[in-house]
Amino acid sequence: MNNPVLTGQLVRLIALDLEDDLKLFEEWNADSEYQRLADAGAANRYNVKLTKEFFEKEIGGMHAFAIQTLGDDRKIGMINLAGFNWHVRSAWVGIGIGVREFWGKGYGTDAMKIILRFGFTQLNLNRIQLDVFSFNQRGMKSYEKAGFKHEGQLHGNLLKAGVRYDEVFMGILRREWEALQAA
Amino acid sequence: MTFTTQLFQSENLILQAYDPEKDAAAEAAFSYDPNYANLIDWEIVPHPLTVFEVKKMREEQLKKGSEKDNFFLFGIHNKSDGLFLGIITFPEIFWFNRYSFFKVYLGEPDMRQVHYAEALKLALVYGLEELGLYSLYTSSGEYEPEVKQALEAAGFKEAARQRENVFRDGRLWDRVFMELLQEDWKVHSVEVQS
Repeated sequence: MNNPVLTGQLVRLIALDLEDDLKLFEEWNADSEYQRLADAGAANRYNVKLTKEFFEKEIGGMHAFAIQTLGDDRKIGMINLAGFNWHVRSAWVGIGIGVREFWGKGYGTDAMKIILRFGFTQLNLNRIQLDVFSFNQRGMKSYEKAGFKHEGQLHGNLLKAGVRYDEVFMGILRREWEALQAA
Repeated sequence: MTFTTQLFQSENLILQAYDPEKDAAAEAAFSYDPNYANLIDWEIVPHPLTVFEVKKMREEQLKKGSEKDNFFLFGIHNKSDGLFLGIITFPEIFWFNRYSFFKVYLGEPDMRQVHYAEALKLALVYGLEELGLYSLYTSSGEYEPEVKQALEAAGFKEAARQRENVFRDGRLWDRVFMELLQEDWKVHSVEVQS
């Protein structure tokens, strides 16, 4: 079912399928670069059964979606809001485009714009934030296009292959997002 | 080679293993301070906690931490009379990247004024010299100016500012991440001593 709030120019966001999508996650996670872009933790191979148990336990506290292309209904990644702080109405967003042929073509930016709309208009959030690593310039540019502003960085927090990289923080406030919609 | 630095005591303070049976009641009393709540749980909405809640959360954290070896919690005590004054906590150390968030908290405002810098130094020596971490960071902001100033005096620099991410006294404030790298700590320690 097409929900206009969850539909963008290139993709739509749909609820996860905890049977089929976990097999996709396993495929995507086989690409260690995908994992290194998405997570500060050590890249790993995850047991599907344990991943399923994780999502079954945590899914109620997060808004996780598969990213599906409008053109051919292909699932190419996932995006989620988690770490809600309802006291200040903020949440963390995480995104990963698992299929390499869709990198750098605007699909992630489109998914991010959708989840911002969802967060601000449906969840009544005031602030959405993320962290990204300084080697992920493509990600940073995408987040800037979606409206995120740089809020600083923890220097050298990430250690990969003997090199330290910064953990960069970005955030967008509801009034900033509203101004972008009006422009 | 011998080690001359005492990690668990300073001029006026001594660090003890946290004891949920004894310390939870004092911590529950601290929770009337909204800035205390994040020391127990990052996501918690600040409100006074029962002794039962504090004890349960601390017991779970200590158990989980002992299994993963990535959680450290000390009780800060007055050296002279043993009074429990507050805590130092490293709630989740990222060993593969060698950094950690940490917090120092003293319950009574007058104790904070007198002993915060001394307790902070104990935390820094432990985190940077014993745990061998590359960097430490903590959160603060203009809603607790005395803490932010003490961090700056110890060599911390503002690293990131999450706008409008703390609610205190009827308004939103920025959550400021303050960081100290081990290399800067070494330089700062020499400068302070000389």
